[in-house]
Order: sequence, then structure tokens, then C-alpha cells
Amino acid sequence: MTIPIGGHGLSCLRGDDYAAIPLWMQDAADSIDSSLSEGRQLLDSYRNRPWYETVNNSSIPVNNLSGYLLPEGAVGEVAPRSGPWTTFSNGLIDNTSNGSLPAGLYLAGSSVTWTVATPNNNTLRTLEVFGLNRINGNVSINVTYDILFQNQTLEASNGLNSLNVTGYIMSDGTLAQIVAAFYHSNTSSDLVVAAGNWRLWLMYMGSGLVI
Amino acid sequence: MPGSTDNLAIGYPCVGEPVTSATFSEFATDVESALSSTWTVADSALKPPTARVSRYFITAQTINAGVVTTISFEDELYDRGSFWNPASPTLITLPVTGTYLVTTRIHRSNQAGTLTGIKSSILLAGSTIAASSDNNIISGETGTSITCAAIVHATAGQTMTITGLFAGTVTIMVEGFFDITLISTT
Repeated sequence: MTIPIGGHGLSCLRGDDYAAIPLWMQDAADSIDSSLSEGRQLLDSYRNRPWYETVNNSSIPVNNLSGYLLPEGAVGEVAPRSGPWTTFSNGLIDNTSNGSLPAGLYLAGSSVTWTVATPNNNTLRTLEVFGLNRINGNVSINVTYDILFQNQTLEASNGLNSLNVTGYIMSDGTLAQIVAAFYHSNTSSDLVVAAGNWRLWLMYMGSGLVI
Repeated sequence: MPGSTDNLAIGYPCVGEPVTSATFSEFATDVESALSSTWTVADSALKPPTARVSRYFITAQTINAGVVTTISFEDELYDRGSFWNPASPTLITLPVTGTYLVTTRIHRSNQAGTLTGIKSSILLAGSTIAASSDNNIISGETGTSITCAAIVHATAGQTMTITGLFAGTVTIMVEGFFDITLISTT
């Protein structure tokens, strides 16, 4: 009868177990293989962290309010929505209609560059990323919004015209999707975001278990 | 040995097969091989290519008003993957194909001149991936900075740069950092 050793399924033989050596070697080999393979899966997962990114693939005018929760009087646009978006991913799914993202720690960000027909030295441009939460991933239950991070710049006549925002998100399993909103309050200054100039991305960092 | 495990091919004798010193030697060799290959995976996962390149500790760089200027780096705080070569100071060369997390910062280091806005861009192979600008600036104040971040999908050998642009009346001196880490080989 063998003696258990350690916590990875290994054992050693007693003096009268000589006849069981082949069985012991097979058992030891399988235990070593199982423990190492489990560790390698975790390492492979860490080496190839899931992410997704969505980019607009045609021009977007920013003068129509999307219907999402934005400051009253603002005109804006939301990414992604039905329309000209191309999504790339490595195992992370942008749940636009159902489901939730795995619980854990994420890094998210967005970047937008625009042109403006009539720049004026007034009003703010705002880029923000917010999360849509669905209880148990159920799209029919009321969706809640969490504004996660935001960046702003003043509209100026100097032509500098980009915003970038990044931040961490800790999800308890109810986060279904991240969304970026870009908006301004000067309805006399139509903005246009050319193709390829608005990106929204999300990267999974880890389970981030908190006790 | 006729038997072997499913994933890492560690061999073992079957019941009834003679067990000799060679049997144990082969077993130990197979276990050593499995451990070595696992450590290689661990090394790759826990020590990804990563670098921090700067223009900060030596001299600042001049940027003229209205001119998009590529930041020329002077030093690397760490560089696992040989991202930066001082012979080509503006370029960050990506060592492996995959997805990288990039964060950059440029900031103004002098007080002279009128500054009304600052913009920084991250470029891959000459095309802008991400950019950020700030027009809420106190003109004569040093320390005005702009940060930018993105995930970048690239093939081995492609190069990245960051640029600065400011709106104002005279030249400014800027310093900057470029941080990059491989997050996925996909």
C-alpha cells in the first residue's frame, strides 16, 4: 500500500510494494502530467489574455443624441451601436443583446479624433466609457448604467481634436457590455469622426477575486 | 516504455514489464522534459516583452508651434524584448506578433511661450492608433501633460512612434515616456 506524499496526487512505495512499481510509476506519471497540465493552462490563459476592440469603419456624424443617458441638451454618439463598427477579439465577446462578461478585473479605453466644420472657443467635448449591467445576463431586466471614466477638452479654434480615456473596471459578473459616448453641447458645430478614428477596447486582466 | 501520459508524454512501464534502472532513468528524463517545457511556458507568461523608454532624464526636445513632431527618446528604464535601439531613437520595434498595451505621456518642461493646446498621438507603422488633446491649459505653466493609451495589434518587426503637437506662439520643450507590454500573442 502506497504512502501519499504532498498535495499533488503523488505517493511513494513501501518496502513490500516491489511488484506494484509499474502501477506506481503510471500513477505518478499521470499525477505529474495532470498537475503540470493544469498549471500550463493557467499560464497559457495569462499569456493570451482575452480582449476585444471595436473601430468605426465609416464616417460618423456627431450631431444626433443616441438615447443613452447623456447630459440634457448635449448632442452625441455612442459606440458601438448598429452601424459602421468592426470588432476584433481574442475570446472576449461584446454582449450587445444578452449575457454578461466574466467576473473579474478589466482594463478599458476609448480614443476618438474628430473634425469640426466651425470650431469655436466654447463648450466642452466629452468622451466617456460606461458599463451596462444586466442582472444574470438577462436583457429583459432593467439595465443600469455606471459611468466609469471620462475625459473632456474645450472646443478651441486651434484644431486640436482628440480625446483618450482609460480605466480599470471590477465586475461582479453583471457587467454585460462597455459603451463609449462622445458628445458636445454646441449644436452649431457639426462634428465628424472619420473611419478608423474611434476605438473602444476592453482587456481582461484576471479574476480579481476579492475576499 | 509502452505507456505514456496524455498531455506531456511521460512514459511508464506496464504491469508485468521488467523494471530496471533504465526504466527509472527514462522516467526521470521524461519528467525533467515535462518540467522544463512547463518552465518555458511560465517564463513566457510571467516575463512578457515589456519596455519603458523615455526622454526625461537627459535633455528635453524642442517642438515648434503647429508642427507635428515625433518624439526622439534618449534612454530606456527597462527593455525586455529589445524594443528600442538608440541608433533609431524615435522608433519602438515590436519583437513578436500579438497585442500590446501601450501608454504614453508627454509633458511640457519649460515656461516660455504661449501654449493654448497640446496633443499627443500613438502611431503604428505611421498610422495613428490613438490620440488625445487638451485645450484647457494655463498658458505659462510647466508640467502641462497629455497621456494616451491603446491596445495595439501588430506583427513582429512593425514600429511605433509617438508625436506631439501644440498650439501656441513659440517653441516648447517636452519630455516623455513610452510604456509597452505584450498582453496576448493573438
